[in-house]
Amino acid sequence: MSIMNLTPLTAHRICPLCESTCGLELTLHGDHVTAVRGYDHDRFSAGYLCPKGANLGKLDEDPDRLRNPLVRRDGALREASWDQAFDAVEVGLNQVRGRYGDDAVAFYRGNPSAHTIAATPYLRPLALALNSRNLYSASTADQIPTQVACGLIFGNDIAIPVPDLDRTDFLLIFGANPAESNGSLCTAPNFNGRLRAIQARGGKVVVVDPRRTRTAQAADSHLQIRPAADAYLLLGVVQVIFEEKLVTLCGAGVRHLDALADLVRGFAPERVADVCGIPATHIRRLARDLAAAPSAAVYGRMGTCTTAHGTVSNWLIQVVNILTGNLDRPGGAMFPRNPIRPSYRKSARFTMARWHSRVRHLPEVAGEFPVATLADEIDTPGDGQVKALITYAGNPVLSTPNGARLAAALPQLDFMLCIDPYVNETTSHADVILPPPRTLQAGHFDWSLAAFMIRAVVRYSPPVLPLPADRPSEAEILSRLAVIAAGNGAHGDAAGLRENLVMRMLTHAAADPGSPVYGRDPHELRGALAGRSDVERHLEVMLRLGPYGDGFGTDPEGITLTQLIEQPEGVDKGPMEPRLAELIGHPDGLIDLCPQEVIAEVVQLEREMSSPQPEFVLIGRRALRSNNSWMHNIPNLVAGPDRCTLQLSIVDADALGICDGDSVVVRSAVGEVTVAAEPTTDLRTGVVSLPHGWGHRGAGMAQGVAERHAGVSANDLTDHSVVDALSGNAVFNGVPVTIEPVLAQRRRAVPSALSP
Amino acid sequence: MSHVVTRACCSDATCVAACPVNCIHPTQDEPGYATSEMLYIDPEACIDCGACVDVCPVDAIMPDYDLTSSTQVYADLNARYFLGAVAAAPAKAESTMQRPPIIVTEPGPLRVAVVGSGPAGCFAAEELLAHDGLAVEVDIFDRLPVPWGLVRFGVAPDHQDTKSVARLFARTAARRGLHMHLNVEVGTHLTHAELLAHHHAVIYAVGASGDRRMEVPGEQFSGSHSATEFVAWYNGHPDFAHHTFDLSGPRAVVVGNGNVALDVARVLATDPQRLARTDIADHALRALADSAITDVVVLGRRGPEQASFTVPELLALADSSGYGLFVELGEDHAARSDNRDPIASMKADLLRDLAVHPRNPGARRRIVLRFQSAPVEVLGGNGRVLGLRVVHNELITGPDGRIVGRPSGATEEIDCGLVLRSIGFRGRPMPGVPFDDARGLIPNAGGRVLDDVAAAPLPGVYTTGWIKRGPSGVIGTNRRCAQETVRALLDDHSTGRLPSPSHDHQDLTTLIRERQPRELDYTAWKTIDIHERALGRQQQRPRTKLVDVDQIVRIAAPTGPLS
Repeated sequence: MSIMNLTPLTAHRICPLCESTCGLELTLHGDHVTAVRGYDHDRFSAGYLCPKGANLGKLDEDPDRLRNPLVRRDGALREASWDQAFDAVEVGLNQVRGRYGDDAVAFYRGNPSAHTIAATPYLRPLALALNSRNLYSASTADQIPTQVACGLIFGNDIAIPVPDLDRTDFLLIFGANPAESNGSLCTAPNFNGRLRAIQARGGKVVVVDPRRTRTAQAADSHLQIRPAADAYLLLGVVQVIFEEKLVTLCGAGVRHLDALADLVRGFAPERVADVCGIPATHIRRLARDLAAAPSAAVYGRMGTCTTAHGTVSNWLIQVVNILTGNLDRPGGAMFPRNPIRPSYRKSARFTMARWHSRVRHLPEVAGEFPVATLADEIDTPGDGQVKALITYAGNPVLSTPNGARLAAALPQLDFMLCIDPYVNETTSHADVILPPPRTLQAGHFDWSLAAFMIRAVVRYSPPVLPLPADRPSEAEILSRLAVIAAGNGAHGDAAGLRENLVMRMLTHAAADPGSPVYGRDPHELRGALAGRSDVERHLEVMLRLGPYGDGFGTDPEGITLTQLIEQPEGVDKGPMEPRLAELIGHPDGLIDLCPQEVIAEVVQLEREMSSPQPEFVLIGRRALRSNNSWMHNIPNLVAGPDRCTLQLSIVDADALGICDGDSVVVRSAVGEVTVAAEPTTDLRTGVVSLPHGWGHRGAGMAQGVAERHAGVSANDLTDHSVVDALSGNAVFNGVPVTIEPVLAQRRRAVPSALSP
Repeated sequence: MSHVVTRACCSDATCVAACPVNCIHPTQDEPGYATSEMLYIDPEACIDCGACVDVCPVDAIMPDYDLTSSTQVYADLNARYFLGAVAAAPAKAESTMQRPPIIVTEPGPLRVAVVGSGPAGCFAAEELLAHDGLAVEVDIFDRLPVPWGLVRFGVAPDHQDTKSVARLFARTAARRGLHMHLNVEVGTHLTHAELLAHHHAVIYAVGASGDRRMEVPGEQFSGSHSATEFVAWYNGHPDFAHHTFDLSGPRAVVVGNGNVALDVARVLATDPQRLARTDIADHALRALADSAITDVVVLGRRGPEQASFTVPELLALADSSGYGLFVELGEDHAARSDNRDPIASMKADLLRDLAVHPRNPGARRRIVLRFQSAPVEVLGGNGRVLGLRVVHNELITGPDGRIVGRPSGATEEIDCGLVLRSIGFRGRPMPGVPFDDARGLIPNAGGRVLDDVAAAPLPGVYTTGWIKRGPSGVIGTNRRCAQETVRALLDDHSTGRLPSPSHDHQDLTTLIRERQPRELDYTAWKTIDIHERALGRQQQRPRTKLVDVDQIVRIAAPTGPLS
């Protein structure tokens, strides 16, 4: 029988592919997705979706996704049973830990782990059981500078303000391209539509970016800054705010206001204009416009983080929000309330640098070391050397700086375990690969992204398809690994662990005087749970004890899991509300405008201001149909001209005699790639751009479509040895490179009289 | 909400491959594709994901909320297409990407000569070179010293977005295994037999550079030209750079109303200051700056619903400012539309609207679109054009059901100093290659060239583009056409039906150097390209074209003949 003869089933599912969390309407025939649309009734996304979400079915049914575990035997990865695979994990981990100690096992967590329901409940027990300081994640190739900046300013690294897109009158975007990436650390489906809405209500959108991105094209104005100069521009803006007496502090108390004024005094727009590549008058106007707007929000993202002064830039972004009175007020930069974070529990005070990495002495942040030093820890012999690596939903060979070096280091490991659906550039080195089941066989809840939603819309998607009987869920995989790591063996009681986690939350809540269930019997609460799986019950407890929850009957208007299952469109709890006071972690309850840690960095910036500039610097590039390294195996998403090209200014291209499609060699301090050139008017001179996540080649790979559209890896050029000094974050933008056409092409240079 | 395809659409169907819901039609696998004016997005099926925008080589697609007052009409046009009886083929979104595997036993690369570097030749080369797991070497020959054929010499200078499709061809040209031989004429410097001796196969992609004549008395008078010649002249074709056209006015008549006719009319009527911002040839710009022509009359034999121009071309004509646009309909066309083809009926609707509401009626220059008028005689004196006698046609339904024009007997004389005929292209024969003189193309079956006599395929000889199928379709239509030809070629190769070349690439290089020392390679073109764009930048133009072959060779190869 053809599948089209089956009765079609409609299901609603939050898209798990990026941070914009769009509600999708899926049509299924059997277990085959035959159509994907945006779900018009979704309270948050209202029918919006992008090409990635539209391909969710194809991604989920990709024939290259692994169905069974792979275990390395006689040098090759071969299919194995789940029991065999877990046994191999137990042996591999125990051998390394027994011989070299717990710290010899490193753990790396990739970006998609933030979009899966199993990670939040079960990764922590796994990490605790591993008892290793060698914890790494994509965060240190991404947003850690934002966290450190907020940690220093507010004493709380998860107090990250997001722009109040739907109410602001003036949005200043730094180093973000939400028109193509759909936005990050600001969860807002149809970001582009919301930008248009700002303009439609008379507001303004200003974009600061070295590239004329689609977001820049849609903005009211675009300041085409030199890469990695954000801190200078922001220092200039802050200096004008002081100089022209535009400071308007709102509600919360601050400390070190005068110290800040002193610190920025040397950064007048006229001094920083050159290094920014932006006229001083534009910088002054920007500061005045920000100060004058009825409400304004400064939003900075990837481009501001992945530079050598990422933390300083992110500190300054919040400084501008604070000094213009826009922090924590409607239309400004506000703090969303996470529906799973009980308001009665105060977050721990931010600390960092409690310990340092072995080889480069880089400080720990949020319990992790910078991923830029992972290869160092593997390939540098000595006490404490990493001998085993676990990766989860990550492809660090493509997504971390100097990936080629990491690829060379991986074979030196004694044992490598990957939890991943694909055999890719990283997992092809594994000894064991444990593939999670299909996306649609798991439920979905955005544990992490809920902290960045510009509107409190609470949604949960139950599994669309049943899990096959012989297939462990992702929750089962992670909890079983936690049991192994805890020394209880490959056949220990993973279900018991998951149940214990639920009971422990209930027990803690019942004992906490601030909780709505204080004094109640945890077993009675357990009996009231409606969740049909451990992970659903885990979520249910957190939701019901959370700020919008029913408190197990305490608040009849509150949210329950059952209600969310019945209402796939979500429950709308309204726009963000001021709540800064409850977030500040400093003992004095004040905002620190000028933390000690940034002062030396600013002095350093002043010193570097007149340093000679490299002839060319490399920046990254987002594309609507791409998401980091893992969506290039879907024909729809790679159709059309190759996107992995080196964009460069047409002026530079002409001067070098480089035309569209010409092969050029790009060299950096650590490596080189040969790639087709794409001259463009979207870049300023001296800047070249390569998208990341490409370079799909390597022995043993099994991603047929991606390998046919291989491209090159931008991270074969990025330098692991250069990091953001304060946070250790990887540096992807402003990488010095040289450009050379591949052939000594027989061509006369443009006569100088004709040069523009 | 929906996405919308607009004027610049080249129909290369890259968007079809990227669309996750297959809402862009006609696809290359659907019957209407070859003759479609453009591609359309079904507003009912579009999910607004924007994947198509991401891949369009000419930036022709936009979300409906980005439409402006002048592009809003495309939302209607896209929707209208789906009101017709759209014959949809089963979804084959990946058909252009997944090429059938080819198994070849012969060692060494497959060597193919492509004659012509226009869209047809470039799409054929791309199709060959993009084939996974197959070693291919392609030699592209062009008799002109610059590549891209009609993209450079046909597309109107004020349609720069249409020309951006050349970026696709540049990527093809940069591929390993491709050799470009410019300024080398097959039939002059190399023979057909010599090409075959150096390649497994030859693909003729030489287009249709000839034109059909009106076959009326007086056609030979000075001031009567083919529109093709005029287009080649204003686009800087080296062969036409020294032609002259009598622009002393006040009136010019364009016979025929295809897209070329509208291009010509628009160039004649556009303010030269606007043209000065385009890449129109300098000599044409100078001549047009002195033009005294104020009236351009465009004649169509049949009625508005049978007009040959496409809807996007009409919309572009109506959207330009600076000249008046008038439409004169026969009285029987004032308010009637019985055409069931939604695109043709939209065309008629637009024309009826223009007939009632002329654009910029007070402008100094004006274009008049007339229908049901056929030329019967070019009038002249002293060997010069003085006017055109036209006959009014009645519309009747022919035996095949087509509407045709039948002379009514009522004639009229139009005073004019310039007559440009634009009533169709036809191919020109290539020495040593079969030619169908009646149809003006190379006889072929799915791209395999057929013997004149036996009508059997000639081993190793193929054709693609207009010289294969006749002058129909738009730029991207040639991609599908090239796929058909290349698949036939590869099929023949894998079944051993291609004779192995007796000479290698080194022999070819030696032969070309001997026959044409002024050959230019792709690197030479890049030098020219950079030079032209640098000149253009000074004048705020996309480029300033070089039109003199000697100058081009000098700039591309400054040290004299290439060693």
